[in-house]
Amino acid sequence: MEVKMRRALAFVLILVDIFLIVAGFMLVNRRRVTGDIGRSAVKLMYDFDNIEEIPQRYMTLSRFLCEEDWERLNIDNDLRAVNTYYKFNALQSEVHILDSEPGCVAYRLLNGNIPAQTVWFFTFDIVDGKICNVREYEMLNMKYGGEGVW
Amino acid sequence: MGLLALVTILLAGFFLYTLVADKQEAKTPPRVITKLLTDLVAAGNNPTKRKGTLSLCIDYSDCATEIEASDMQEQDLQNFTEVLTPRDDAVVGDYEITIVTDRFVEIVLLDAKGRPLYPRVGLVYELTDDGLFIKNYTLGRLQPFSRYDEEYSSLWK
Repeated sequence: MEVKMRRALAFVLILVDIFLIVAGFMLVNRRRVTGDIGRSAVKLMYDFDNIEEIPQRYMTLSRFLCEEDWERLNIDNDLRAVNTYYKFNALQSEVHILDSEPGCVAYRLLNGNIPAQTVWFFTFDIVDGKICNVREYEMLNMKYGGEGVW
Repeated sequence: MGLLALVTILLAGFFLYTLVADKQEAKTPPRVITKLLTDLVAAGNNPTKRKGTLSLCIDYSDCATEIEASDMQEQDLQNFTEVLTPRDDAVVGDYEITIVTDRFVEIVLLDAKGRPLYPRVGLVYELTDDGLFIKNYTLGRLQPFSRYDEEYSSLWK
């Protein structure tokens, strides 16, 4: 009887261990994916060799965005191209990621028409695995005599 | 059996630690950040009071002379005044912090009746080792994406 009890307890402990390993892995992975998805979105929007690549990149981006934010960020909507892409002056652009954590990405744009010292800050929420509530800051004012945080 | 129990305890500990670290994402901003914003808003358009607030919250210890420190305060005053002045020069009565991450806060300015004054302000900061002063910062305003951005819709009417 005692042997049966010990075996049953060992079985339960093994099941608990398996659950803890899987759940722990999923938690860690979720944090990693949240950071990766933001970096991917920024690169899809602003890292291109020529502007003709942009529509194709936006097709990929649409998979990451929730419906409301797709309406806002869609390259075909009113003023989006003017507000965002006019400043690139149709030149090649490269994204240099400075820092990222779940929900935000800081980056610089390496483009002949955009000051290289300007830091851009992209923030977002993840809802049902998709990027929502996207915001973007142009960080211009920094401590006098310094180069800002980055 | 004892080894199995030990492994379970260790795994449970790791899992709880990960879970707690995940939940801690609802952060609160450092005290020096809230003090800076609260006192700057309370100082209104008084540059002397605003400079006094900056000197209490920003680290100027690397300045060689008082004149240099004063020059830096003047520039910092301009930086903060620029972003804390709403588009239509409305009077800021209060503020609300809407996003907090490790080194970033998003700020919505409010008028005396608590109505938002756009655009939002973003502040990235780096604190001194003791956490009492802001060692470095970068400030900016929210950028519009398209006409669907309600905060900017008045500009496009």
